[in-house]
Amino acid sequence: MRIFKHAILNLIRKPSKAVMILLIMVLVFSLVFTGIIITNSIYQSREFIRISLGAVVRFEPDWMKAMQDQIDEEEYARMQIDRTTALDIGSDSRVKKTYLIEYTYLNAPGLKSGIQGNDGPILYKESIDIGEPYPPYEDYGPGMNLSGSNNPIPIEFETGKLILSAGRHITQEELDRGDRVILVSEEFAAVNNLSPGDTMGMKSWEMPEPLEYTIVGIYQGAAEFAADNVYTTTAVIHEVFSYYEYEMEEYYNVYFVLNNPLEIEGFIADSTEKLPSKYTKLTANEDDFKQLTKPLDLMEIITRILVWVVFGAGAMIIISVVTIFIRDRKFEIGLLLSAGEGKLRIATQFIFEIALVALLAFSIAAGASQLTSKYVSNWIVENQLTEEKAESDNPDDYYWYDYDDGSMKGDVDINDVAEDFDISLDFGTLLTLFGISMGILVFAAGTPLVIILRYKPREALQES
Amino acid sequence: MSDFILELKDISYGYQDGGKKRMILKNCSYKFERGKFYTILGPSGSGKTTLLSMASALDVPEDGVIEYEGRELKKIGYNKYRRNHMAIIFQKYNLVDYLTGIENVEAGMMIGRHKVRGDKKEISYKILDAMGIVKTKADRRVTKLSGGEQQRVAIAKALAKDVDLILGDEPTGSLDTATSNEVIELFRLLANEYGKTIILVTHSDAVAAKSDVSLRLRDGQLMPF
Repeated sequence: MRIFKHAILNLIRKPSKAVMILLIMVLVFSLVFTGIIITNSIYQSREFIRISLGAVVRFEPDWMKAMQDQIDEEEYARMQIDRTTALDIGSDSRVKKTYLIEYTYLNAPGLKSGIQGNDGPILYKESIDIGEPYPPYEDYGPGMNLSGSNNPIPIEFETGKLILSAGRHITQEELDRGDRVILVSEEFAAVNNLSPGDTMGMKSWEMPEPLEYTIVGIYQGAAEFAADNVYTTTAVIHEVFSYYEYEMEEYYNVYFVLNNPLEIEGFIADSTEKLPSKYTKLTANEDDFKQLTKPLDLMEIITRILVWVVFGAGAMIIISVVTIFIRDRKFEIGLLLSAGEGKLRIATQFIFEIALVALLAFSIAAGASQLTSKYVSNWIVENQLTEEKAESDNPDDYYWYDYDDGSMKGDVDINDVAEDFDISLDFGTLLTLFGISMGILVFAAGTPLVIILRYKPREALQES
Repeated sequence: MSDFILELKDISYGYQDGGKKRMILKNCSYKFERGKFYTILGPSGSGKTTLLSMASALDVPEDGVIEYEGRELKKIGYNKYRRNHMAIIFQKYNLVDYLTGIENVEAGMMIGRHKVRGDKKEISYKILDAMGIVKTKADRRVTKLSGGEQQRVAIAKALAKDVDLILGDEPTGSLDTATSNEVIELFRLLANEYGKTIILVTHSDAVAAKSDVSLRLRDGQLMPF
């Protein structure tokens, strides 16, 4: 117990050198900790972005690459995914659900469009002016975009983009039987005075008569120009296809909903080899992700470099100061050696003193860096993050079927990231910081150990 | 067990003096008996402190062997020898400056790890009191004591170890005559009554006169005065 008692007594009664070491350690620790906290926060922000963008991975032809490489028709034909391949990829344990979606287009005779300002007669006037023999608008009604899924609940509802406001979802039994059941938007239902349980007729140009579809549910959340979107099953879509003169090829829009958004990169890396063509890809809003995380990338690099530089320089400074600290007490070490005290026990006393100082420095630095990190965080948010804007929706294209209207991914913009860029000291980070402190301490404490072990008692007493 | 507590056998030690090696001790041999009070005299630079360093295992001879109770110091272990078998009193008090008088004395006992019967603190106070250091002074940091008081604390520290061999390098150098005489009498008592071996290096003929055996270090050899 002598060594611990004397260590504490020395710190209390001769504090000047200990205070100097404490101040240096606080400075080094604070800088390193601030860097670590910022780096950690950047990592958390990336995770937040990934989670916010959702866990949806989409199969997509890489048209750009195909055009650049000027591929032939045969290769173009391979840029579609069949049901078997899609389900095979979807059998991955990371996938919660696989969506195979097909689209078609029907008209609803006698009904009005749910899109505000969608003036049907003007459209058809134009077509009449150019001499096309189309019947008047009243015979056809608004154009309805049908989206058919292999799952009873469409992906838009799974991701929370759309919400059921009345009625119910399509059941698995209705899907299996191929019943003509549909979900329509609130806007469409309101303008046509429709409720769950009502039926409405829709037809394509090829159909002699409209087919009757039963409205089982009404949804809300449709974008401005998507109020005429109808959700149904792939069986309903295939029935429409059966009226076409030509055989419709399989052309699935495939979405994989993963259990964990953070597994996206791994899933894409592993599943890409199963794709039908090298001109196809699996994507999870990479452009949005890269755009949103771009300001964080540079920040992370700079912070990491700074952390290592400060860590290295700080460790060297601490070692130097501790060496001086030990050399100043060479006489005391000589005294202890002359009394028969072991070198390791003497070294333990000095290491214990440094450890106490380091512990105090850690506590002060952790608190100080938490405070300074908040200021740094605010600066980063104000000056860096919010300069970048990202758009994750493109509502103008909602007319067209077979196009990713962005409803599969989450809404996130850079302000969300900025809001979430809150640097806090969680337990995991605190543990990391403590580990780094102890790492510096090992360097610092190793110095007295090496020095003291080399001392000879007489030299230590004489040279002081 | 040997009749001699400490035996020097052909001890040699030298210093580098410019380009030449100057031998301070040359095949120095002597046998120190138990229960005797020795003094070693010699002019400055004769090697008295060097000899004491060898005897206290603060340094190692270049040649020769030192035996404690018939066992080589090397085999006992220099650190163990210093810890358990001898105590040394330096010329310049040599106390830990951030400790009090009582803490310095206790430190010696703690390092020695002797099984002390009774409270270490209480025993330490008694030893200090016997050396003329009252409790209030014993509780002060040693830097607040006078030179003479510090030397008394250093002597008390050595006595508190309760070892059979006590070495001293001018331990009474900074004491007044009266205190010096008291301390010398104490050493005589320890030697004659308690069987301890005291070996002091001194310049003082008066101190030497009170010892049982007075030796002179001359030309690297230890011989009777």
